[in-house]
Amino acid sequence: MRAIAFVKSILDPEAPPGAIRFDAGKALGDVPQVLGPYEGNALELAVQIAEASQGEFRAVALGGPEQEAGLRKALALGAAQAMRVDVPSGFHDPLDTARQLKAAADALGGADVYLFGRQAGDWDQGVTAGLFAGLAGLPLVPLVQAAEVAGAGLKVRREIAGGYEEGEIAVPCVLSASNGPGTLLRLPKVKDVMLANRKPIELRAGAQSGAGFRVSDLKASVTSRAGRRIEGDLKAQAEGLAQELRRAIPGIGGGA
Amino acid sequence: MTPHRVVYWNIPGHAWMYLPFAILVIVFGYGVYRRYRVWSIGQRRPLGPLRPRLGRLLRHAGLQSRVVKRRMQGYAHVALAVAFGLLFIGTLVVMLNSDFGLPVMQGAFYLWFESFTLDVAGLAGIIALCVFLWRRYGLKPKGLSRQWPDFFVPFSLLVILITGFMLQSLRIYATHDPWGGYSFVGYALASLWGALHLGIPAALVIHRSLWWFHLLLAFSFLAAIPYSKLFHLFTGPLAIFLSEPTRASGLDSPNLETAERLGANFLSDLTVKDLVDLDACTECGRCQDVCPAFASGKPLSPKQLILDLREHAHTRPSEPLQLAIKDETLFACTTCRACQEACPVDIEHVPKIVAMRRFRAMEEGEIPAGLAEAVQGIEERGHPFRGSQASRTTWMDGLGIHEWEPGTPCDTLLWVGCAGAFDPRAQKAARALANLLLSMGEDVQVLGRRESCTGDPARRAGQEYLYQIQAQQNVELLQQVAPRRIVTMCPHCLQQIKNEYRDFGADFEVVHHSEYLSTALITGRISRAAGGKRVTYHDPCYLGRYNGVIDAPREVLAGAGMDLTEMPRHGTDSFCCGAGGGWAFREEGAPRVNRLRAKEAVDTGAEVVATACPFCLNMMSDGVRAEGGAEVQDIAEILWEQVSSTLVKD
Amino acid sequence: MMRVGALVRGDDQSALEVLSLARALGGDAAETYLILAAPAAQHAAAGAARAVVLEGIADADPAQLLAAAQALIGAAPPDVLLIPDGPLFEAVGAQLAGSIDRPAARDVGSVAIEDGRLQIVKGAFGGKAEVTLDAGEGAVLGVRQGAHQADELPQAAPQVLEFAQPAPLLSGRRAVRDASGEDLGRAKVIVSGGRGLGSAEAYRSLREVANLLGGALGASRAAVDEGWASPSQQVGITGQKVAPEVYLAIGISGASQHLSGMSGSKVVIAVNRDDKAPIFAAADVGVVADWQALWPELRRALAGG
Ligand SMILES: Cc1cc2nc3c(=O)[nH]c(=O)nc-3n(C[C@H](O)[C@H](O)[C@H](O)COP(=O)(O)OP(=O)(O)OC[C@H]3O[C@@H](n4cnc5c(N)ncnc54)[C@H](O)[C@@H]3O)c2cc1C
Ligand code: SF4
Ligand code: SF4
Repeated sequence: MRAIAFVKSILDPEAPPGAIRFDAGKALGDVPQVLGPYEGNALELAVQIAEASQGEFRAVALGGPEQEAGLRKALALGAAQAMRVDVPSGFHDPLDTARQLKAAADALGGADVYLFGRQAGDWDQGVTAGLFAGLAGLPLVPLVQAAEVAGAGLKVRREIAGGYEEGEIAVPCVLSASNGPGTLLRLPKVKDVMLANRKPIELRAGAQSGAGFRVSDLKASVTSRAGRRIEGDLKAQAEGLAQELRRAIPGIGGGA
Repeated sequence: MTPHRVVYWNIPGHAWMYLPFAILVIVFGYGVYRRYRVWSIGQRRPLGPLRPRLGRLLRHAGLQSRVVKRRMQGYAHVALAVAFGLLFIGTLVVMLNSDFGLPVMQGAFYLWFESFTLDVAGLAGIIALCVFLWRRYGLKPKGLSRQWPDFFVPFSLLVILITGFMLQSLRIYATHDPWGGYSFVGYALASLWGALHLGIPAALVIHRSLWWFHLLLAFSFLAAIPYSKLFHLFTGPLAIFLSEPTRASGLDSPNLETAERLGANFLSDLTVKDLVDLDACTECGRCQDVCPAFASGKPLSPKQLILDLREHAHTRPSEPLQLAIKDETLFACTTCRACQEACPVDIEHVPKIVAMRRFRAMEEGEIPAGLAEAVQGIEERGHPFRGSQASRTTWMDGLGIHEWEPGTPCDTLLWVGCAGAFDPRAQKAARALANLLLSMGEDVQVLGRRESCTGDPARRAGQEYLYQIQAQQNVELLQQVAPRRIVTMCPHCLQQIKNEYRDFGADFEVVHHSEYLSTALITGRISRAAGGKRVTYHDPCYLGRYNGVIDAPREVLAGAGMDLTEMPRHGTDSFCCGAGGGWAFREEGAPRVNRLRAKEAVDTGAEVVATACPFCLNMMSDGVRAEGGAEVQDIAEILWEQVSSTLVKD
Repeated sequence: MMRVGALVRGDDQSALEVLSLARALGGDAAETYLILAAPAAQHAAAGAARAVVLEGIADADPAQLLAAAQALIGAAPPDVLLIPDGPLFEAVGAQLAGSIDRPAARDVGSVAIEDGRLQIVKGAFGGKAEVTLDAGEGAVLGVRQGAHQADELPQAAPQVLEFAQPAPLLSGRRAVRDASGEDLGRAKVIVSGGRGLGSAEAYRSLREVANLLGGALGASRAAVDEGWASPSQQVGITGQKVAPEVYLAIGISGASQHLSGMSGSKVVIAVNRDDKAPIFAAADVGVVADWQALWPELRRALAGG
């Protein structure tokens, strides 16, 4: 089976508050660029599917040079090819993104399985997989927690309210990956990292389309509560906390 | 008449003994060759200066300074070694006399050395062997195995010594040796024969057969040496000679770009020294007795590790090492080096463990959970503390410490370390240290957001590639900063910047904060305080054993007016807190190492448990709390508390 | 003039909000579509114009929902299509948009039409920021729950379309409820744990807390990734959005993505050993302590009273 994983790198989503500034429609900060965690889940699925079917997978990202973090990781995990669709860093219209990713995928010869992360942690759009599936006219399995090769198709597990659903789907199809028991990204082997650092990342010129969404304003959102601390030694803290809980939740155990 | 004795008395065809002797030489030679063949496939490392190596050889092999640390069996071992040494010389003397015709077996030398001294030696040997057998089979300590070679070796030595005395006594009895009294043991036995009315012809027959038996037993024994743990007679000193004579890393920094294999998965990936080590182990169990992993029930015994590798080397030398050593074993080690410190023949366990970890981590991507996240954190964020929402400088908010700016000079650089910057408990220690430095009027600077992990957790996890990247970057940065001196509160950072970064061109003056503070107390830049509490001090492995800093932290505590009570295991014999080797980032099942150490600390009755490492600080805090004990503080916190309260009082 | 439409499923609060928003933007001309599960009678009140009834679909099946949505909007889709952000949007929103060549956005807080151009405000950077987008002349939008008032809607029975229901997305499908399958959305009290708990065993201690407090068990993404909690327990921007009376966060740093899921809680109480953890800035009551050490004391305090 052939798979394509779309791997987006983002400013470290675990960066401390304030480390990312928002200025003139851009997000700036002295923060490392990392593969988005859900894109990591997608990459893991690509590795598994390629391994199990003795097939191969490729990795594609759209953006500026900052996208190399994820593409290198994909190469280290065995991607047969890595391609960056070269467009300026920063916000990009989601429909146009999906279109350009589709064109890049076609240029790579297409695939049986297209893998996206459910949501990238920068603009939190969470729509690229769906748009891609809609454009390509392929079925979309949202929120995949695990997938395995079953005959000519896939057996997948997807998140539903309060649990999950399992079943089979034919290829070609699009999966949006979520975190779950079967999607935790593995560590690349160092040998492969070293080799990957020598492999090329192909560049594909991005198309300039003026249409679609444009950022007209970006500002930090402030939500904060005037927190009160419960001080003292452990015992005092525990008692203070218990009191607080009793006040907030009428009718819980022990006195009150 | 000059005192003497007839050599080969009563043994007519004694020349026949050269037949078994030739066999002995061949068998012995083949045994050595077989071992040598395995050693020779190892990686060669340059020896470097010989003086420190020879010094160590004299102390550890000649004076057996580590052996005698265990009083009873240590002295017994020395007695046995000296006894057999003397007996061996005695035998050479016989050879000189008979084969080279030198008449040395006479006169005072004969009486006082060949007779008296050798009897003393023989007797001492018998006593030592009895001590060994009694310990192994009477006391049954955990570290010693009780398989049949364990019995056979001392038992046959005992038989050799006893038959030796019997021969002597029979000769004295049959020849009425006028100088028999000098051989006091043989003489006493001879009178026993008299009392038993043993006939002279019978004595001659017994003597002759016993002589051959004694000879053949001794030869077989010698021939068996290269095939048994007694080989340590030769390999022990060799291992001592080849061992890393300084306290630097003991880990090599391979060129990963050109290495055919990353890390070790075959014997040929280990060094010659590593392979000699396998044959040097005496199976004494000292390493196992001090190993925190073993003590807390993890599937690692440093002794067994060596023996498993030895078995592997002898039975399937071309198979992967993974067959011999399981991952759980490999990753259980805290790299505390207690085993290496205890080993009488300077076997180096940690470099082997790390070499094998390197293979697992780099070739196969296997790093235990928790540690893997930490390593990934170093790669992505430059620190191993996943989830920390602090920045490199949060800890020093409001303290007024300067961040170094490129192009400006730097006198004292405070290398904070990731723990000091990101771990909430260690941040407090970092603040106390910064306050102390500021109160001395020191112009301290930090690297702030330019500081990055030294890579120590990655190196210990086997992720050498990431480590080397971190090391190179840090060395370059530090060379650019060119501080007059670097002070750090983390023994792991100290070990890196001071010792292990040398392989990457570093040559900085680096001191641990304990050293810096103790000097400041001596020179009066910090005034001494009085009226402190009862304290005990936990020596961090990377400070004490790795870097030999034992007194400085104690001087700081004394300067803070604290009253120190030592734990049973301290100084270079300290017991690990359980954080090393990447364990600070892993979830450890019960029983946990830190609980064992914390109990020892709490049992001293101290009100405060002091330490001088941010990782120990956390581990000991957890452990001591669970043991229901005292407060755990860094020495800097203790000193700052004492000093600042004096300042307020003044 | 922009044509505005709304696609909803059932008549829960979020559906009513979106229908109201569509009327607010598009007036009486707003086109409203309703997907119903059979039996459908009680849904007449939703005030939608056209409806499709799906038979026997328990879990939001993407293939069936998509087909229903496509049948409802027909060949001439409205310029702006509003969908409640949640399971329905997850299942069909973006794919529908792609199939009709429209851009899409979700987590949309406010929608306005200015000079014939769509202006939307949505969350970004895990809730650290708000971005205002000029969304051009048309889009499919997932509207954040609670972002718009539910107004009084006209009562009219929708026109129910004939609909050939396709097979579900997955064949041989089997739904599995999580063992801990609590409905976090409805819980009054939620006890949530994060990576700071350090072990599965420590996470299990929260079960006891939840029992003592009569609450449900939540988790951060990190706790899910560690395997201590199941994905359906995840609270946050890509997990459940919850708004209980009391939210107790233990060993959770308070990453913005997590806060986005629970900031509507009435009282937030946080336990964390790091006094600088951002969770404290989002909490009403903070306890700086190590959970392992605090827990035995708290158990005693709660039992003793
Ligand atoms: C697109 C995207 C979507 C995401 N969606 C979600 C989401 O829906 N939900 C979500 O939760 N996350 C989400 N995340 C992940 C999020 O960024 C954080 O990584 C995650 O929330 C961190 O979980 P945590 O707080 O449990 O772990 P950490 O951030 O690692 O925090 C652990 C905390 O525990 C504290 N601690 C440690 N030991 C103790 C102790 N003994 N006692 C008390 N406290 C202790 C530490 O001080 C620390 O603050 C998302 C990320 C992205 C990029
Ligand atoms: S270094 Fe420490 S933990 Fe490792 S084997 Fe030696 S004694 Fe045991
Ligand atoms: S390795 Fe050293 S300490 Fe351990 S059993 Fe062998 S000789 Fe003794």
